[in-house]
Amino acid sequence: LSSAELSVKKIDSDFARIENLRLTIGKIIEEEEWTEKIGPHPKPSITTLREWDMKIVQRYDPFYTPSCDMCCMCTFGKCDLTKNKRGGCGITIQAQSARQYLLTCLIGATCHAAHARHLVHHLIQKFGRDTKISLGNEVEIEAPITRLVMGIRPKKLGDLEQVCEYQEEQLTHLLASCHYGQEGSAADYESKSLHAGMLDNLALEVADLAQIVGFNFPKGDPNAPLVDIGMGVLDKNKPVILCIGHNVAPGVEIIDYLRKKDLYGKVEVAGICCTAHDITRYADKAKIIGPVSRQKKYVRSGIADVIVIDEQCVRTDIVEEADKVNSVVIATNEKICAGLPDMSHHTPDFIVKEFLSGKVKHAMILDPVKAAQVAVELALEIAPRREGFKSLPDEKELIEIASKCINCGWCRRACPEDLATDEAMQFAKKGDFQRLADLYEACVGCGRCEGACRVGINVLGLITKAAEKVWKEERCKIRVGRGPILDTEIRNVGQPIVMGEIPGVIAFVGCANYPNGGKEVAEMAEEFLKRKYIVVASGCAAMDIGLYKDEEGRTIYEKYPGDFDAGCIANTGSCVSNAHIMGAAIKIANIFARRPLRANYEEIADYILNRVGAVGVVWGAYSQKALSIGTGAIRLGIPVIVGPHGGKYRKLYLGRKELKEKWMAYDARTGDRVYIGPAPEHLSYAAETKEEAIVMAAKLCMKPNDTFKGRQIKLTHYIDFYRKYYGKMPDDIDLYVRVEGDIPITMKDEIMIVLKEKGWKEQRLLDPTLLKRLIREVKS
Amino acid sequence: LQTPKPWQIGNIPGQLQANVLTPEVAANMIKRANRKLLVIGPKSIGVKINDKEDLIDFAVKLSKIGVHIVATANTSKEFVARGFTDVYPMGIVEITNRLRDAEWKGLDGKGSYDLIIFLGGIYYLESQVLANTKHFALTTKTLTFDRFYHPNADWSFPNLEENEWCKSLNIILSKIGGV
Repeated sequence: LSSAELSVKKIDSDFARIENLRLTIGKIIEEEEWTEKIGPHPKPSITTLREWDMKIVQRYDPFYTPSCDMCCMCTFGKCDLTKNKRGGCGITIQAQSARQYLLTCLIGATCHAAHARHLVHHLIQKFGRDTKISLGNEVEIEAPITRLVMGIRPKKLGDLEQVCEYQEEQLTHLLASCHYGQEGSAADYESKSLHAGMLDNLALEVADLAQIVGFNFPKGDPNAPLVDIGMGVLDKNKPVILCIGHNVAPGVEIIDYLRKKDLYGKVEVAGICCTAHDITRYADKAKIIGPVSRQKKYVRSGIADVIVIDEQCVRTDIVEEADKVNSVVIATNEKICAGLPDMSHHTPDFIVKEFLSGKVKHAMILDPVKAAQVAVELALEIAPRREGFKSLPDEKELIEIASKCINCGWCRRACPEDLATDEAMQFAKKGDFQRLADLYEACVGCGRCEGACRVGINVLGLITKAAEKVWKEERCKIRVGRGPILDTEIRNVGQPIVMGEIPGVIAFVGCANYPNGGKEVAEMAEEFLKRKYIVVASGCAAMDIGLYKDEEGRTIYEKYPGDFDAGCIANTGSCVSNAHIMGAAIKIANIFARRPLRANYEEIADYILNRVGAVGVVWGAYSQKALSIGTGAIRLGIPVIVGPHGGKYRKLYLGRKELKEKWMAYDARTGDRVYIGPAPEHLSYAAETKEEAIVMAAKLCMKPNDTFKGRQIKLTHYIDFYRKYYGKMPDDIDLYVRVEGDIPITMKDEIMIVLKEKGWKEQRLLDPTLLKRLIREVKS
Repeated sequence: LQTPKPWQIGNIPGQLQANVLTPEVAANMIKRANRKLLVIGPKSIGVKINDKEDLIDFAVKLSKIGVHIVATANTSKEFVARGFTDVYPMGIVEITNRLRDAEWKGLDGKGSYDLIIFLGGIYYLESQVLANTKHFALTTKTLTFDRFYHPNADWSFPNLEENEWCKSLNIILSKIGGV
């Protein structure tokens, strides 16, 4: 499309006074007095930020771990790509790995973009295009990612449509690049993945902004209420509606319908996965069952009368699972039709009758208002009929089932976590269920053990039964997702973060494919909270943090305040609320450091990479969306640590601290090309254990521009953690001490010995940047 | 010998899968290699190989015949607790990232390694890093002494019963003079 643009600085005449008007064909970009000058890169194309991406790729040489040695994507294949062989199209294993990574990112980013589009569309229909976007008096920068990428300030819901259009266009280009005979360069696929990640983050922001405004979710409230979380929180004497997925639209309508009918609180509404977060942001009598890993286990419990699914992270066997326990499934989103009959065009009364007469077992109802009415009416009708329904075996039956086990071991070999289900089964045969119960915490609930079982034992069901006492008593508290970080909070912590008095911001995000259960996330979070880091959380990780109590019976959310401040834990909310974590980093650059935000991606990312000690920990990384979210963080200069399963994403961005030439930057004061030290050492990293993740997170908080005091504090934590978990002093202290003033005072003597051994020399403190255009004075 | 199935059954990378390792072959490869490295991970902690010794002791014995030891994650603490400090703590992805660089001079700066032994890593992550060495560290041979078959290594034990595996490790020690 060609476009024409008209720019008018000032007109002052009898008929009009106009200032700063910019018009394109058919669309007004900006028509009011936003004094911030538009930056260099509004609405970047897939190559606009390529130069920035290449800086990342050159320093953090992509480390590929191909899941498959072949390419199977066209009819030339299968092409064997081992030993430097190329595919029939000429592709290498590096490019193929990078392409697969991009495709995975695109799956995640399109999910969020589609989610955002759906919400914007739905909310415009419901409340109107002119609905004002306002996050309250304490949030002036309402959409930091949108401002940064698009160069616009969205003021009304309708303004978000152009962001959706931009995302959709860019995502289409990126997907096209994966076709046969398109991109063949691994480095360029990397750049495209980073672009997909950025688009993903933009989509997160659009989706959450729209729902915060439309549904009046908390607008950055650090004191958002505490709500119930756990497998045992529901009152089974009430009808139960269980919402699964990420799109809160039907959940909100369910709450509204219950309120309208004076049934709010008389019907249990609970959720699994991010839709649970978002329902509690709307109604504090709603409850959270838990993260994605609880889905199959909870559905198997048979407690839910009606299961309302929306989109993303819904098990593809949900209908079969519901059938086993006589629950009803209502699909509410086009992305998951689940093979169900479309009842969207019938009246709710008719649909309920069809269900009750047995003509329909499950249905798709795409109108959320109608779906909500059906879900409530149906739950009221069928709950009494399901009373006394038994879904799990009793102990006698458990022994009988376990006795069928032939101890072949295939269940264990199918288990992603390598759980010793085979051994536990031998004990269960003898009536000892403790071994089975012990597996419950680490079990991710995938059910692959059952598919592998040669004699058809429902292994997951037995584990769930054996641990029944544990999960039935699981009643904990989580703070409702607060949404954005307040500008006032950023003003308070911006300086201590950049100066290092607050040693870092650690974000626990992502899914629940943990190596040893979710408790480790809570343990990691508490380690950092005790040391006065700022901890933020979202998604399933935020739920897992809330599922563990201390000896006094309190969860982390009950022990630590919900502010964005040292020693506090801010739960931003669902997956799409991750936008506020990236947004906080951006706002530090803008509010504290006064870096221009508008369409100025490179400079802000450069600032964050060199100055903001923020790290993401995605301990249970699982979905494609987790990858695209994390990849967006990486483009923005925020390092990401994944758990051991994260290696299956096929690529990490690892630095080599010993290669001095990789750690060069410009000194913005002089233009000199200078050594800045290996910080942050990696941009994405897979850790084997939580101890390793803790040490690495502390290390990655170090940034080249740390002040003396900041580096002292960050080094203190890094060395402390290292000695605690590795049993000795780190061998790379010399790389992180730039000048004597960096050395933690309490460790000075022993560090000086190490520095002397290593032949350490003081370096100059710098104002580092990777961007030549930010050099203030170029030496002749 | 027939190629075994990977321990985690879906972990089939393609046509190129590890040769089946015997303790005798392993011992010979160690003897013949010039520069050897053991990458030992957290799953080795507390795993006995005979009445008196565990995998950490096994690693210490390998170090005595010139095998460098990288302890991944927090495994180094076990070595240090036993007074063995000649161990390099590194992430499994960090060490593997260097193995693909033919110019890397090793932990002592004296040259790259021609034989890498993996032991005690988390199965699925170890498998992923072995996929990296398989494709990008073409001048280095990789062995795994784990109990379970790792298709992405150059050489791996098949899936072994615990007693067979312990026996194999003890044979290796006896053959290389580590006992």
